[in-house]
Amino acid sequence: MNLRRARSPEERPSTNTSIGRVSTFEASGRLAQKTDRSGFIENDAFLELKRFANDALEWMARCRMKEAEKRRASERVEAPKRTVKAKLEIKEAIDKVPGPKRRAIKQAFEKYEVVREKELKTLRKEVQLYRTLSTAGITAATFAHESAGNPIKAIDQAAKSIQRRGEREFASKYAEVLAEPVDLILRSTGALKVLGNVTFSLLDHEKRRASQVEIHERIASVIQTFGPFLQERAVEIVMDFAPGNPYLRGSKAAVESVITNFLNNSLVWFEQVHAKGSKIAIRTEISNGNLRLRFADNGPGIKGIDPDDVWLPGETTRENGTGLGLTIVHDAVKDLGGSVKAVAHGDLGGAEFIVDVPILGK
Amino acid sequence: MGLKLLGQDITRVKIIDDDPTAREAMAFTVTDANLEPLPDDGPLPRLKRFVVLSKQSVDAVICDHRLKGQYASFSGAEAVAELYKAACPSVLCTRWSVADIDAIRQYIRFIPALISSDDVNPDTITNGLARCVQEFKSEPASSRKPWRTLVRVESVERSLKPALFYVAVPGWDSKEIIRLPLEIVPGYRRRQIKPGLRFFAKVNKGADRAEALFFTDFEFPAKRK
Repeated sequence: MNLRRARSPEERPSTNTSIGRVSTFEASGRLAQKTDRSGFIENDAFLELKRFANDALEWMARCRMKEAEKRRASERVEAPKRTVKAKLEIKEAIDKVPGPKRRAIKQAFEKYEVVREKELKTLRKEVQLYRTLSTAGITAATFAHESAGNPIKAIDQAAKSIQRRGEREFASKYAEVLAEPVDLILRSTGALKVLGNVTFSLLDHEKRRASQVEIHERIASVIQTFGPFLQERAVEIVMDFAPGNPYLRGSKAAVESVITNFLNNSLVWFEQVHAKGSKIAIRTEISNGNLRLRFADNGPGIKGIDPDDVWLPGETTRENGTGLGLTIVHDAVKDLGGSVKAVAHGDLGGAEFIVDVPILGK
Repeated sequence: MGLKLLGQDITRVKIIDDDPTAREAMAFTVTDANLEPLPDDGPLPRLKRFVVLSKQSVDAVICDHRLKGQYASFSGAEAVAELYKAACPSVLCTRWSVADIDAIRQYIRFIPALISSDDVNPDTITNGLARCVQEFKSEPASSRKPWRTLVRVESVERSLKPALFYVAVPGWDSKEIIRLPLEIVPGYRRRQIKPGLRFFAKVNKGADRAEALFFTDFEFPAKRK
């Protein structure tokens, strides 16, 4: 309970607050106290009682949540009114300032208002973007489940059946007439499965747990998940890892989101400019308790934006781009206690990202 | 049409999947395995009745793990485990996702044939059914044989749904941490699960991967008086 309170204090009262009492009147001895002075009563009747108490707490949490939501909604309505009132008060105060100073303060305040308005506009845009992306994420997860479970499975099995029956019935004629299109269907379903697998893999809550994370293993795992997709798009991946097994304390999700977003970024650019020959190099080096990860591609590089600005939310040079992938990378690396920088044209001619993170060992 | 697996005739195979297209696709594979597919359009009866009817009408069952509520009131893992207890050879298909494994873990002891949806083909189906027949007739393969062994609790996550705990089984692999749903432990013992706790359980130490491990016959240390 304490853990759940700490996670959502808004829904559950603190340990110092009395929130109710469960009284039981039980004469048949089903709740007889244990005599070994350790723990609670261990029988079905007590467990049922405990379940009841838990359900009551859950119900209360839902009620409190509803109240909190109402409060937030009314705050959203009241906040702009309060801002207008505060502004009026400031203006009145400025009007009371004597002559020449008044003008300077007025100008400074107007300037402040313009900057503040710009900041608010950016924040609103960012919130809208996160909402849109969350919706896209939820939709992707639903689609991943439905598609991996049903249509893709059916296409895959049916194609394999055509393959088996064709080889059996038509022998060499099969290879001549049918093998190529059937292989194409099987390769394509393999690539389609990746979309579902990546989504499922990102959603796994265990990956958000803080633990010892082996960096090379995580990188290899992401590349493996994307494998059929990369193969289908003829993307060559070169992994050149420093000797040893460097690890850090963090979440697998953080490390994976760095690699996944770099990969997504490269793939999107390859799609727009490369016919074939796409290449990605992932290298690691270790020195002085630090791991340097270099992620380079042979795409078009960073153009039309300062490499230092690619981390800003909403900044993108791509049509329909969200401008959030690299922001997430930046935040994830920061969470891991590291830093990241972008190079417009790196080792392979395209964009290169250099991540430095402290490690615990290797 | 039909196969003889370790002396047992298998011809009619019931296909359980809540998706009609998936049932149809599975029927192709079952036919390619020289077996007669019998897709069940559902809705399925209650589990006990389903097992009795299956035993009477078919020689084996192939079942998808995730079954929607309108189609069945039980999961594929529950169905296959009950069919196993009734000595009906059955294969369970799953995507091997982490969530699926959490849900299946408590039934793995009774599921000798667990195959990934990606690996469904005539050979994996035939081999899976043969593994079931072997367990019914003699003893399980070395990868499925339970051994009494020490288990160490590494961490517990009670706030998740389902609640989970992480263990190491040094007799299997001292480095790998295995994730288990708390519900595999008898109800009144769950409170006892804490990091650092060591207990004995029967585990199939011959399993080649963590997902195939099952844990039964828990023996917890006596509490201090």
